[in-house]
Parts: sequence; C-alpha cells; structure tokens
Amino acid sequence: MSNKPIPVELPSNLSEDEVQNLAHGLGLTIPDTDLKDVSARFTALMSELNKIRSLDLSQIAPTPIFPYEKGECK
Amino acid sequence: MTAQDLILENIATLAPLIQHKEISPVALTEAYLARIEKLNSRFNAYITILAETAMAEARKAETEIMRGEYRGKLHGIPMGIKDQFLTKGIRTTFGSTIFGDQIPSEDATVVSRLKAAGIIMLGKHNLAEFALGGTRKHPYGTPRNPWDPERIPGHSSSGSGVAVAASMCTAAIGEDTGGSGRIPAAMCGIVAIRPTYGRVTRYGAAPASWSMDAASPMTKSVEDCAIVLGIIAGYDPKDPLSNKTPVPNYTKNLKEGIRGIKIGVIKELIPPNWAHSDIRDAFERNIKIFEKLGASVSQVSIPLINLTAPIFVAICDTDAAYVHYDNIRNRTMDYDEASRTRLMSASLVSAGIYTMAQQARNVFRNQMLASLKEVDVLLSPMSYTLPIKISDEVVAFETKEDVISRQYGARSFTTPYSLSCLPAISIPSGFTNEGMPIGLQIGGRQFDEETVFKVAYAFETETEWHRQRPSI
Repeated sequence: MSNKPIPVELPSNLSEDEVQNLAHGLGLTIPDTDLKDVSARFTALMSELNKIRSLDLSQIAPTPIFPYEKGECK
Repeated sequence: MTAQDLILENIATLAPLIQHKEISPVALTEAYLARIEKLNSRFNAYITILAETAMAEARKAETEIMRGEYRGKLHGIPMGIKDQFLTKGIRTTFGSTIFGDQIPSEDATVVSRLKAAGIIMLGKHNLAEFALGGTRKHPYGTPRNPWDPERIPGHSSSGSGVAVAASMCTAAIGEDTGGSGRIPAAMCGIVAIRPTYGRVTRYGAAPASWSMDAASPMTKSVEDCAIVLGIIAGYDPKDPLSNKTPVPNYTKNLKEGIRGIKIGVIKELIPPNWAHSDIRDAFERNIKIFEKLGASVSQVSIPLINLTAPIFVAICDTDAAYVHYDNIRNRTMDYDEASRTRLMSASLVSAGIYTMAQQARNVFRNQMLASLKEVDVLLSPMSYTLPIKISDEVVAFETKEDVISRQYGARSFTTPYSLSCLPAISIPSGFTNEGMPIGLQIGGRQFDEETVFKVAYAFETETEWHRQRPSI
C-alpha cells in the first residue's frame, strides 16, 4: 500500500467546463447560473484537501464511528 | 413578577415557581404567544406558531400540576423545536419548500421525550434549508439577529437561537452537525451544547451527516442546558447508533466548582493576531476568570485542527449529497441556491477522496483524545469574526479563494468536536464594542458532558453576560 492516500495531486484547478463534464458523468446538470459557485466550492475543497496528502494514512482505518469503551478517556 | 417579566427568565428559575403553583403555565404561555405575535414578523424565528395547541397543552399542564401530578423541571415550560424534527400532525418543512406540505405521522424521539416531560410546544423554529447553513433566500423568511437585525444569527439552528435570545420561548431544541447549534448560540448570546455522538437519538431528525448529526439543547443558561439534555439523552431502539451508556444526572455535580480542573487552550486556534481584537481581548479575560476559579490553564497542541474544515466538508457534504441524491437531480431548482451549489459540489467527491477524509478524521481524533489525556477540557473561542451582515452572506462564490476565506477558517472552531464525536458547549463570554455577543467553547471527553457543564457553569456564575437581553 502507498503511504500516501492519494498518490496524485487532487484537481484543484478544474475549469468550469471540466466541472460540468464531471457532473454530467454522475447524472447531474449544473445550471449555468450555478456553475461558477459549484466550481469554486469544488476546487476549494480539492485545494484544501491536498494539504492532508502528506499524512501517512496507510495503517488508518476509515472508521467514522468510534465505539465507546468504558473507562476510555474518562 | 408578572408573566411578562417571567418570559425573560430561564427554566431553572421558572420550574420551581410552576411546581409550587406560584405561576400558571397558561399565563406564561399566553405571554410568550403575545411576544411571538409581536416580534416574529421582524425576526422570523418561527415557521409555524402553534397558538391553539400550545394553549391546550398549557391548560393540561396546569390541571395536572394543580392535582399534584408534577412531572419534573420541564413540566409547563414553553419551548420551541427546530423544524428539522418531525412533529406528529404538525407541518414539518425542514426549512424547504420541497417539504412545505409534510405532515408527519409520528414525532421524532427527541420531541416525544420532551412531550412526556410535559413541555408546551410553542411552535417550529426557522432554520437554514435542510439544516445545511448559508441559505441565501429562506423560504419562510430570513432569521435576523435580535442584537442587530441586519446581521445573521448563525446557522443552521438560526430560528432557535433567535427565539431563545429574544425570549420567544424559554428554551429550544436545535441540531448541531458541524456547529449548527453552537454557532447561533454564540452569535445570539445564549448557551448550546453539542453532546457526544450517540448520546442523543437522531430518529426523526432530517439528516445531514449520519456520523455527526446531534440534537442540541439551546437555552438561556448552562443549568437549563443540563436539564434539557438530561431529558432527551439516552438510548433509543429506533436509532441503532444511539448509545446505551447510562445517562447521569447532569445537574447533580454542576455547582461543585472547578478547583484543580485542568483546562487546555488549543494553541493552533490562537495564532498571533488570530481574531477581531474584541474577541481576542474577551478570550484573554475569560482565561483569567478560569484561573481565578482555581482551574489551571495551559496550552495544548492539536496540529491537524486547522485542516478540520476541508475534512469536515469532504465527509459531511458528501453524506448530505447522498441524502439528497434524488431531489438534487430531479427537483434541482426547488433548492435554495446555496444548498443547491453546496450539494452539487459535494456530489462530485469521489469514494477515494471521501475515504481519505475519513482516515484523516481518525488521525485528527487521536490528536484530540491525546490532548484530553493531558487536560480535563479544551477551551477555544467560538469564532474569530463577528456575525456578518445578511447582505454579505447572500453573495455567491466567485473563486476557490473566496470559498476558503469565507467558509473554511470559521469551521476550524466547531467541526473538531463534530469530527471526533466529542461534546462541546458554547456559552456567552462577552460583547464586542458594537454590542454583539461573543461565545466561548468548552469541549470535553467522550460522554463526559458532566465536566463540560461543570466548567461552563462555574464560568457563568462569575459573569453576567448570560443575563443580558437584546433591547427589542
């Protein structure tokens, strides 16, 4: 397994056309009036998430819920 | 005191007066309904006002109490419920026109527990559409901050924050996925807790993120918050992720003081010149109050905390995009512009990115737990900025830099507890020179709301900010 979770940089500079094409592939059509806003949100997220690519996540389970064990941190 | 004076009071003050038949739930409810009638068109705190059923419930409560059948501290207390929670036979919109005609056939479990405790439901509170936050055109009117109606009251439990601060109810049930209870509390000058994930059932609440959604008591004081959480907390077979850990009596040790308690200030959230100077000054004064009370205050490091905003967005928004999978495709234009663009953006996040965010969440949570081995509670401001003007919030995003600047920094304060499933409370901690409330956040260990309440209560008893009411 790679030490880096995503080996390539996330797409933080997609054009509005590329964002629309990505959406079409997922069964979505972004209204023209929303395209700039959606593109800004998506590329902002990718840009910020690129900062966590340096973390070593190779041994980390993607568990969203954390069972409470009696006595843990009490 | 008259009923008009009493509506400014909190549950802890009203409950013994109701119990000892010194005030009438009927008179109290009439006074609240009159205030709602007077103020709601200006502040848009309520979507649905339940005048008739509230009066019927008040008469029933009064009859029971007169017969000596007092149920407890919420009996006869008029409350409001965020319109994110299902209410049997009462329209529940989720703040959206898509559910504008929804009449549920059952109550959310939180609502049924409050009813069993004897509350009087005054109505359903306004909210950001689908509790997503940032709504640009509220279908049921724009909630306005009672301290300055030109400013936002915070999202998404906006109506609940407004209603409590403006004394249009004694207390409210909001919801807090990424700060939706704590942020309006801070901006409106009231108290709200986000409990440990699983402490309170999610059944019957419109979901945003299944692994972070949590009902949030919103009140005028810390003691009230402890009282309400004590009623709604506990395992619910209808929510398999609610927890079976026994619910303690949250008011039992509330007043025992905090001498010897170790408080950790999260140093990454207070870099040089980290906030508006009024907020910075207030925070420094707040620390001195804790020290005066006998707590020891030190700095702790949580290195990943400034990256919690993108981790949160990658998880929460993607969860929400799945919740809205059909409607965002088939009823696209029935969404508010902000909800629509947020959900569409999140719909583009791949499984790999979502999984990476969940892994990063685990690393971050371990950092939070490690810091909570050094100290009993964590301390931070609720935000580094003042509530913005409503006219500034309705502007669409132009660039990614715009999104990062307007959204990501602010989320670093509240989302850490959401991601790590830990409890955190927001309490009033001062005012800016412009007269806007400032909030202070105290976070704690898993299922250790008792300590969080105790620390918050000790601070509150040394200050007067929670007693201030907006001039409206």
